[in-house]
Amino acid sequence: MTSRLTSLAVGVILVAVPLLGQPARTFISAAGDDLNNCVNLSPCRTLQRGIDAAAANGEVVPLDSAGYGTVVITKSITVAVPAGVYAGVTTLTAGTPGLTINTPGVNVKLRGLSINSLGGQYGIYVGVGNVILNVERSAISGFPFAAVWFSSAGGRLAVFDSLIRDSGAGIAVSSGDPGSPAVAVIDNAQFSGNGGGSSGAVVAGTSSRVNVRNSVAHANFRGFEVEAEDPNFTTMKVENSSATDNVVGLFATNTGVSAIATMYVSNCLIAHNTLYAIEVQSGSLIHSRGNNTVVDNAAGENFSDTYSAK
Amino acid sequence: MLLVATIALPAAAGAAQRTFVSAKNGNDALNCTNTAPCRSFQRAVNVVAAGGEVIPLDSGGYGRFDIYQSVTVSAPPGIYAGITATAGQGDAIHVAAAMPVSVVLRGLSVTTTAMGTGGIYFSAVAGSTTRIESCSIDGGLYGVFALSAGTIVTQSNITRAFSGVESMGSASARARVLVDKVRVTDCNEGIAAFDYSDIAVRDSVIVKNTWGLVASANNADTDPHIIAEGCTISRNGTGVGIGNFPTGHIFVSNSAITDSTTMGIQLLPGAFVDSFGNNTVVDNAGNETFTNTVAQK
Repeated sequence: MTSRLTSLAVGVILVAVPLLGQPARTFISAAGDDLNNCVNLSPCRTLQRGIDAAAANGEVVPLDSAGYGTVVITKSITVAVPAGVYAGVTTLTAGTPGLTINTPGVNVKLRGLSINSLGGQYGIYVGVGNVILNVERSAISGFPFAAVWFSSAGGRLAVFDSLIRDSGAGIAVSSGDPGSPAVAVIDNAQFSGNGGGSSGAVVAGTSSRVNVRNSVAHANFRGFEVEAEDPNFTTMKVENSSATDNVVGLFATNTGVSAIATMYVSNCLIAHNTLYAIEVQSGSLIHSRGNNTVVDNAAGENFSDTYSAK
Repeated sequence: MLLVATIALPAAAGAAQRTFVSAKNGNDALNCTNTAPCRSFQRAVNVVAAGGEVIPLDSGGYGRFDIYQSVTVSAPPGIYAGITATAGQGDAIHVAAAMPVSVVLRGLSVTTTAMGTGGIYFSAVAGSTTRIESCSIDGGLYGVFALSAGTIVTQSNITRAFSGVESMGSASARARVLVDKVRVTDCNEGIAAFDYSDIAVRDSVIVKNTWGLVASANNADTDPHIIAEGCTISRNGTGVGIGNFPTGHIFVSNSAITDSTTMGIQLLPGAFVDSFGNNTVVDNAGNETFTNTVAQK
């Protein structure tokens, strides 16, 4: 009997420990305390503590409007800020990104955050491979290097319904492994004030594949940019979007002379850019579907060529 | 234990990076933290760090305000943050910084009750970026008046202003504005480019105005431009047209100009209203012919 009770007790503990120690959902609040256990009746104070306390693949939910501090993410997690709640992440020091993902292969969803720099260089920094990251309904602003830096061989990035402003690169995507390109899909995003005199609102960097849809780039140094390092292909597709009031609307370049940096542009508005509508360097190519409105730019209104609809 | 306390401190102590207002328990004598919020946007905008954020914690009226530094004023969805300007007051929101700034106004309800004052006014400091997002703007001399490049109005509704969105630059620095996913209704001029300005209007609805889109120079040879892409311009008096002086250029692409009660397209000699040949122009009372058709690329 004793052994059966002991076995039962052990069984209960084995089941109970994951629920108590690593809840599937944790809560944070302006009135929270990181000494709490992050349940909704005793929320924690910081996003970092909320993430650390949640189970892998769990969710962290801010209960009310506040700043919640910078974080380092080492596991799969969702940060879900409800509509009606402001959840801010502000960086004050150059070496500290707003959010850092430094574990390969994790799956992270960020929904509804306001990420702002008062000294930090990166808003979201990903420097390891095979990361899956979704950024939804978020505002990221003021980062001199990049609002979103996604350098992840084999990684997959999605940015939906978000505002990217006043940063070096807006979103920069790249892979260090030509055999495992980084891919990104951007839908309904607004970019303005990015570029810092040398970069673009969206940059498809070496060995990346980037799709941009239904998005606008206004008043950046460059709007949409693809750049490749010979001989590794990099491509960008831009559909139903606009590049206006930038210095350069569309830009393609590579380190060699091969046509390895390519952009496909369809149903877009390219207007009021102050230096070039379209700038192509070093044998790169920017193809048009033939249905783009390209007008009122200072110069450079011709695509490399035109491709047919099918 | 010590580590946890150390982590918690920056978020709790960082009042200046963001400030809060509350209609329920705010007071401008407080320091605008989320546990001691202020009452008015003006106070919160004044005390936040440059580049910081101002957040209303609950629904209320927060008063008209002036901006002199980079700032984001952002009402989360589900919270009504009202700004009302009445007769004799200045614009509801007036950006008057003497240096280049980055300003974001998001989720605000802006009402102007007298025609002598305006909604949101951006000053003309070159290098500034200014954005209006998810706002409702009602009444006044103008909904949005932009005097510099780098201005975006997006996902907003503008109604009952004399001019919904208007812009004016200078001979040395054109004003350039993007209007994206905006609905402009019941204004005298829905979207108006005045002297030395370029407005790109995209995926927007401009209906029930006296004029829909108008390039309306106050002086000859100031060449205001408007480009409309993917817009519905319907049930206005005049859909698109050239205003006071015969100078300026309007381009229309992928758009519908319909049901205008005076004319679809108003032309003046010396100015241009050009089509990319992909527009629906039907059921207008008057002229439906563009100056030229130009090719897409």
